[in-house]
Amino acid sequence: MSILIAEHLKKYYGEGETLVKALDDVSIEVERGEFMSIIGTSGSGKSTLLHMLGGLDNPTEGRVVIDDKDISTLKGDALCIFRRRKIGFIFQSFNLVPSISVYENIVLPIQLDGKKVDKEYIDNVIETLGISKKLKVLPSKLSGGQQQRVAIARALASKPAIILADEPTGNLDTKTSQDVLGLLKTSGKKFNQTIVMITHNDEIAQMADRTIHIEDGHIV
Amino acid sequence: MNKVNNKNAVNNLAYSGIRSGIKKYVMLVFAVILTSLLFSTMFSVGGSMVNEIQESTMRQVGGTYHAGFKYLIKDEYDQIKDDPKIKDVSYRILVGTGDNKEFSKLYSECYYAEDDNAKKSFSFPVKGKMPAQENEVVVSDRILQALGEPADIGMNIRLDLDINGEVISNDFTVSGYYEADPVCPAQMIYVSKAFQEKYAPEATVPYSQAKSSDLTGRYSVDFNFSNSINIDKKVEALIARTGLREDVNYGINWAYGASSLDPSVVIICGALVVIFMFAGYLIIYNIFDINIVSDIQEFGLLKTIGTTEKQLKKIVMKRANLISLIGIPVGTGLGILVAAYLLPIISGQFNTLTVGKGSLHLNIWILLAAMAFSYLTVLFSAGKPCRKAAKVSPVETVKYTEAFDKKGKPKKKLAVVILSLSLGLVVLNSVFGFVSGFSMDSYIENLIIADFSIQDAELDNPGARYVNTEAVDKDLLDELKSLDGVNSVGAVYLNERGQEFDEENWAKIEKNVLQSKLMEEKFTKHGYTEDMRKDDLEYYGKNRTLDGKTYGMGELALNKLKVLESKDGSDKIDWNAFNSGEYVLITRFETDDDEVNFLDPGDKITIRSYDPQYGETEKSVSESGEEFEYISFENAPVKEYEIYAVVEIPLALGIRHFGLFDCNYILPEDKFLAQNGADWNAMRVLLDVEDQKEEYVNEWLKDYTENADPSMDYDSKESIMEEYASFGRMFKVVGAVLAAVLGLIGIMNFANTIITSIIVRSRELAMLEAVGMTGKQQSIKLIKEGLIYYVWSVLVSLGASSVLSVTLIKALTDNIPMFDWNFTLVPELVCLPPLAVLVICIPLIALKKISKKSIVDRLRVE
Repeated sequence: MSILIAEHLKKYYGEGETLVKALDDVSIEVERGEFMSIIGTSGSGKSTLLHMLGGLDNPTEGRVVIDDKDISTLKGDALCIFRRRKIGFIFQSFNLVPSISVYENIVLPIQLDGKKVDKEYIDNVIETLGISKKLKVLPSKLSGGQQQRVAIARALASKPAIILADEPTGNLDTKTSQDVLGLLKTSGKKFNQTIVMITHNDEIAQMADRTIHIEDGHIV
Repeated sequence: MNKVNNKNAVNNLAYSGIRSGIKKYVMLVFAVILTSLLFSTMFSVGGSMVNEIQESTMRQVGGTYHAGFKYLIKDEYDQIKDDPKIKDVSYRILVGTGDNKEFSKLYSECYYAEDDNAKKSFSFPVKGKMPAQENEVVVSDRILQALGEPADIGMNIRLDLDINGEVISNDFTVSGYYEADPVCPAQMIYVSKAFQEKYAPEATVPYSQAKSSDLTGRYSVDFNFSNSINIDKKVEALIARTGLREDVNYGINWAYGASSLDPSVVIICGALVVIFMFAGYLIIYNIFDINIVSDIQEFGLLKTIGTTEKQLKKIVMKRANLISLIGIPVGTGLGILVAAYLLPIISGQFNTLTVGKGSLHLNIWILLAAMAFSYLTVLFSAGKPCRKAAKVSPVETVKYTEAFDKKGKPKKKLAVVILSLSLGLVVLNSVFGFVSGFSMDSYIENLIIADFSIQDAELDNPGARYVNTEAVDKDLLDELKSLDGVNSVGAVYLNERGQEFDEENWAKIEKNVLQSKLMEEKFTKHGYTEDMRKDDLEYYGKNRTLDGKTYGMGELALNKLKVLESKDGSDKIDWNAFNSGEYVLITRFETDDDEVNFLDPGDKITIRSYDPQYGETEKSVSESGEEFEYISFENAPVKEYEIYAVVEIPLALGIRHFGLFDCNYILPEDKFLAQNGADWNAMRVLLDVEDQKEEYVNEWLKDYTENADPSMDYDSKESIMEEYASFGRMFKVVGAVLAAVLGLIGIMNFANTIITSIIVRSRELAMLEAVGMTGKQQSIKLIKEGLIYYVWSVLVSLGASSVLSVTLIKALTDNIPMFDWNFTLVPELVCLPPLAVLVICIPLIALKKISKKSIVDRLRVE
């Protein structure tokens, strides 16, 4: 069963001679529990694709269905609420909120939703990612690898339908990259999560169950 | 040391930084504009008022010269005229005084004068020229008016001149006339040199060797020093330097006196300067600081590529200078406009009489001072952010932006914004709290005594030197009596001769007054030394006299007296009984805190007649050994009166010249005239008028005082009420402008802080949105942040307003009679809801603005 379906996605910028086709008729499907990587060079359109999938940006044409919901029908706050319930994001630059503690960062999507934190589950996630000793500090006090682990924990916290990771190891050294990715994969399996990850690094991409290539806005 | 020419690079960096963050700098320019507007307004108003007061005083004195010598002969004039330390030396030579019967109310002096002397004495012809031919003359328009001539030149007039005691009549051709200043007591008649030489040849004997009345043909020499500081000492030095005789008569223009600076005014101005600088500092500092924080990466980058601390400081200071260069002139210009608007309102409250009252007087130095203060504020404000920019570590810059919210920053920023918001609120509350205590009714009751009051124009001006206490002549009095709609007319007469007592009364006065504690207080207040006290008391005791005025009052005026104690215990005076001729009223001995009777109802006093028919010319010798004549009333009849009541005379009824004792008597008007001669003229006349005729009488009086006799003035009930209402209005307008600008600064500071913090955190907010914080949730979060500022500002300002109200405002109102103190926070409370709306709206607007960019774009911004 497909948890994510993208059909004929197009994203065009500009018009006439300056028309840029960032995405040109891309269709993908992702199965529940699958760890898929999208690989492409810089400017290939992979980030744009991920933004479309996560509802951060609107496609010029086509539709995205997540967990049987066509997200192109959602607007504004409704989309935002859908995102925090169904999608977990992991960014290259971690994107933690600097003014609140690590723990608060992790449970933020749940609290924003006004829901009760599943203490046992969160503790399990934190344990798995090995950040239980850092919960009270501010993100700025952590190393890059630690920050990214917090970001993974945050993405997992709301038990989303799918986790979208945008170059999650882009800011990390090789050794740390391996660790973080390993953790991402392990925790994905452990908590039965679907993960879509974009990267430009072949080696990283190979860690996924399935890899698709994107070049000049097309799937190759 | 090598001098590296990096000017271009630094300039380029400084100005390109502004271009890329133009909005922040526009805000900064705006803040500087507001600050310099405050300074410029204050300095322009202050400077114009000082100038106005000075000019008004000069007009009373009759000239702008710093000082002048009187009664010199030509040799003495030559002795000083070339002294290098004086300039603008000019002279006039006294010929005599005008003696036409038409000049009964005009005091006129006849001179030959140099052009410059006439110019600087406000009496140079506005039309025509100074006299050249023997028969030519320059006079004031008021003299022409008194002679029934139009204000023009070329006509022939006949002048009677009293030259050294001899009156000569001559026909003159008016070669020019000048416009008389209503404030200046003396009218000038300028004749030609030829006329002066013929009728009043130059004196040759120094004044010290001549008779004191030998004044004609003598030089009055006026001059300026390089500046007006310490004129007195400079004149003394000049006399010593030039070897002029030591007993020379000299006059100093007291318009230049330092006494015009009231210490309370200095304190208020000082306080305003501090408040303005503080308000300006708060906002300019804050914006600069915010700019530095948001530009920190730029500075870090510059440092990485080798920009020195000194150069970074230069870059920041260059930006500060550019901002000043635009903001200060604009703000100063706007401030001048605000000052022009405020000046007529403020000037209306001062007893200054001058041409162009309430007009703006711009002095380059004053504007430069205002600009200097504004620039100083900018420098103060930019100083710390500037050092901060220089100290930036290139490595930390990224962190700095991200973490500035948690580095103790908000507390400081919070404090700055709270102070800034509170300042406007506190000033507003204080000013309006003060103004709301303005209660005219209790005060004005004392001032409004009748529908109209007619008197000499200067009578109620406490600053006037010459007042005519017999201004309402019989003709005018008759005219007023026969005016349509006038119900009753009450005249007030005044005789300023002192009072004398018999032994019995004197013993009582010594006991009641002279030996009392109040007397000590009074002496102390008037600055009497022990010796002076002793001498004076001895003198009074020997002669059994006290200073005091004797008033004559009609029934209308009498009813306005406040009866303190009376023979029959009533608080009203029975006019018929009082008018019988047996009775007199007496005032009390007063100090600021207390009062005591000189004598009591039932006591009998005597009043001497000053009817001219009893006057006898006698001769005496002055201290300088000179003989002079005076009129003695020693043998005039003395009449006994019984004290009917002890009363208080309302200010508006009496005269505002006070003696040490002011032992005043009041007689019915007929009895006053019987005592002092029927020709005595009234000082003031009160009219009660039918309501429907008030306007007509008002018009009549207006026409009379403007056209027929400008030396007279009148007050109406309406004009007094208006005058005091406008006094309250002045505070309101000035306070409103002040509170508005300070309030604007506070709000700007708040808005700027919130908006900047939202823009700086635009990425953080995008992150939050990416993980699912809805727009609504973001709005609530930001509003909450704004409300923290708001709640703190409310607490701080309410607290400060309360403290100020019970301390400063109370002290102020206690000192000003027409203000009552009451505790109020209403003005501030009224402002809080609209402010709350702003506090809520500003973050929402900022959020909406940043939300226009997509999350993806915002996330991408590093």
